This record gives sequence, C-alpha cells and structure tokens, in this order.
Amino acid sequence: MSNGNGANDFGVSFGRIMFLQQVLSTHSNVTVLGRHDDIVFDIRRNRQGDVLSVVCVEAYSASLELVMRVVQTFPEVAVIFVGGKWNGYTREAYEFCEEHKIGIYNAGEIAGGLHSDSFWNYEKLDDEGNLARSIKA
Amino acid sequence: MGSYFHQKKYRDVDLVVVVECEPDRLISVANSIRESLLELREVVGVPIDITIFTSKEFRANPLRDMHTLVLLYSSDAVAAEGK
Repeated sequence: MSNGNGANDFGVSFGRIMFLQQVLSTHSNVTVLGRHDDIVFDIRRNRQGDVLSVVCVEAYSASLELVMRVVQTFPEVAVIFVGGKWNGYTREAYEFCEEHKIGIYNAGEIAGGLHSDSFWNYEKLDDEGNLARSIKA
Repeated sequence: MGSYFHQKKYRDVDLVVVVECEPDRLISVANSIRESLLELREVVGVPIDITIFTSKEFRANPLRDMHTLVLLYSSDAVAAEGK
C-alpha cells in the first residue's frame, strides 16, 4: 500500500488504531487529514490552525525507549497516544516528551490535550483538582 | 502482559528487558537487543513482545503485577556466579 497502512513495527492492533481514529474524528477541535504508516494520523486543529502528527502505540507503561523509538521513526511526531485509560507512561518517557514538546496521552487525557494550545504539557486534573497524569510508578 | 497474568492460553510471549546505559545509547542498545531476539521468535513459534525499560524506570515498578515476572537472565547474577 502506498500510504503504508496495513502493518506496523510497533505491534499496534487494528482495533487500537481504529479506536484512536474514532477519538480524533469525533473531537470538536480536530479535523483528520489522513492516516499513513498505519499508526500515524495527521490532524488539523480547528481553533489553533496547526497541523499535528499523532502516533498511536499500545503500551500499559510506555517506556523511554518506546517514545525515543517513535521519535526516531517519526521525527515529525507531536502527540503520542498510548492507548486506553488504563495505559500510561513512565516518568522518564513523560519528561523526554515534555522536553521535546511532544504530548503523551492515554484515552482519558488526549481530548483535553488536543484542546490545549500547549498540547505537549496539558495537565489533566482529577475531581479534587490534583494533577492526574498517568505516570506508572 | 495479558495472558500470563490472566492465566489464559498464550498467543505471544512478553519479554521485559532492563538496560543500564546512557540515554543517548538507549536506541542503539535496544536495536541490538531486538535484533538478537529475532531468532527466538522462530524458536518459540509465537510473536515476542519486547518491552525495554531503563533500570531507573524498572525500579519504579511500571508494570501491573510486577511480582509475577519471571527472571530469565541477569547479568548481575552471572557476574556474581563467576566470583
């Protein structure tokens, strides 16, 4: 396939990719421009007018090595989606992403992140107003 | 780490590798590990899902049910045996 869809080297299932597509296509601030390399969505944010690459992976605890491999493979990445609400990332992975202005989000965080002007450090708060990042530690 | 933790029949093997190296060498070390483990997939006959953590990440207990992980190899253990 010319767009590279149909297989990926990150072990991401088709169901997970379709889940992210559903999240993106129903987001009020997002227009999906296309999908390529199986796990990369190019989106335009309606309010900010910017174009971002969102890469879909699937990890209970996304590691520093995983996010570095994503960046090496897709240097244009702006947002890394790690999967469902039970998934998350290590503190080292989060800090690497923040340093490189990359947003890293699970299903419970990505909607807010895509509304935020600074999409790389959106801070979700829980019901009591505390930070609710999905750092696994 | 699903089927093992849920005690179901496995369709893949989850392997956690913990590495100790400088961050700027992490990708090259990880690539070497993945390449070295390619043959293992042929041996076991199912996909191998490799997760690579730094030692600092691993010390923070990043996985659910960490206590059920089975140690296969430790360079520290080998070094200790050689003493």
